[in-house]
Amino acid sequence: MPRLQRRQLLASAAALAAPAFVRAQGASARVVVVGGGFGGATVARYLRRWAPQIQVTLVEPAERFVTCPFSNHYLAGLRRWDSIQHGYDGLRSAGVQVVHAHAKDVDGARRQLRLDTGQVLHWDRLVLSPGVDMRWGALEGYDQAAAELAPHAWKAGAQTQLLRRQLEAMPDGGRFVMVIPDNPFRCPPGPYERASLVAHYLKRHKPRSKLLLLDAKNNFSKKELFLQGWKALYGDLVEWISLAQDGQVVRVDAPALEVETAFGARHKADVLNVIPPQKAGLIAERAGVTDASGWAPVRGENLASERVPGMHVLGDAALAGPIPKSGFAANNQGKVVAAALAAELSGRPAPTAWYANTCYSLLAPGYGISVVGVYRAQDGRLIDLPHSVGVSPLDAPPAHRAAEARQGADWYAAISADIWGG
Amino acid sequence: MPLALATQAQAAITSIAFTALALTLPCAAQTAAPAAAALQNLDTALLASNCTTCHGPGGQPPAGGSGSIPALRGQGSAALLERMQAFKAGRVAGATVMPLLMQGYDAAQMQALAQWFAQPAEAKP
Repeated sequence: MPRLQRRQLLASAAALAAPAFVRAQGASARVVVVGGGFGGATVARYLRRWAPQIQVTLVEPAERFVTCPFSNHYLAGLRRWDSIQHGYDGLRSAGVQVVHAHAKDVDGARRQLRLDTGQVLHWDRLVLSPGVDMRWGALEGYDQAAAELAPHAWKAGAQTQLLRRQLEAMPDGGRFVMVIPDNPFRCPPGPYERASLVAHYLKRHKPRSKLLLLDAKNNFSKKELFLQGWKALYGDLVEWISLAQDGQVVRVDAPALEVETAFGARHKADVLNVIPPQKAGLIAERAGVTDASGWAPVRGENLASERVPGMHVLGDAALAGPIPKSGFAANNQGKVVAAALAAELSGRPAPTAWYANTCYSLLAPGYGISVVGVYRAQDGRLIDLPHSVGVSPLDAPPAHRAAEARQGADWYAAISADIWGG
Repeated sequence: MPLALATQAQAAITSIAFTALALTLPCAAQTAAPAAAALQNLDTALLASNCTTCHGPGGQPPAGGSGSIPALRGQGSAALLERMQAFKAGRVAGATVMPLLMQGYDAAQMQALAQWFAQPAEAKP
């Protein structure tokens, strides 16, 4: 079998050229994962499961991680704050070394990661799953100080709690304004689920109020389903203004709670929720894996960085073709990275990458909708499987919406257990 | 179905599953036996991990849910396979996300998944 001999030769050559590979054969390869969210924590857990001989260190500042999925439920008073938080004891039990610190800088040549504590971690492979950072200043007038007055609440935590306090303090008859960015951004249906659940809160507690959505796009994830649901559930309470209708906001005056659109229309708010343009988390930039777009290009087969050898990037920070920036997708990407590294670092053949995604959105209690898709790699790129991408049917009976609402809640419990152990 | 027949059907499915896997993995088939087994297992483990995002760790939903997403672990492989085929063919009334999702998996993958979740506990890749 000449083909096999050639493969063996190539593998031997690779082992000689790469010290990491040699150490891996000695059963003590070191993988450092940055980011303990849906992507990074999944890599850490599954790497320990599939290659227990590998030393895995997970770097995550938060001792309890607050998830963006289901944070809209908290915002509307449908969930308790502690129900969307997860600790790291489950990962520690799985043999992951968890370090609570901020990753500050990467030295790719020395294969070192520096933390804000001064600690330096050495790695054979570095996995970056840092999520998103806001592009402060990309929207005129919207910087970190402005976010304390007009929260984005697009990274779950203090911002989410601030927005909830503002919503609760808003007078009946007030106006809640959401500013929604152009693609790509974290969680494509997220702004519209938030609009739905804020509308649900307002209808219940402040029915004379109004919700205005100013959008930089003409289309969005599950658009027809959201528009149909809003009309049925909330009537005129929700007003969506598209790009074509002058919905694109170009300036924010946070102290005045006022925004200005591309054609100069001004909208005053009682509560102003600005979801600004985003980019990969800063550590990805420091590691050199991002391109001019601000996101990290990766190979579809294993999510290896296209720019820096020895590094993988996944989750919202990665440019993953047609795969949406969702928690589900980050979880599935984490498994692909774990399998690829488990194989590579123990000298086994590379596994076949296969990615699924399902995003449930809740429009009201008992009213859920979904979008799904299945994806694979082809020549380095990610493509979707024919006929696998789609959304819930329009005009579905209430039982269908109720089933998807229940499934959404059960999905959240399942993925949380899958990643953090509960 | 009498027990003997059911067992035969099960054996036939097992055989089909492994043949199908071998057909889709020509490189593995040429490699030494242990490596081939490892490749099949890691491939299938990765594929099955698509499912656990909703169906729970190891294919077992966590306690306390509404039961809207069923357990996969421990169901018979024939039943699992039939269910996946029915979803893919649009034959399940009231189905939500599964008919679309199953479009992303071919016959060999569905066989492998059915075998995987039919095991009493998760196999090591």
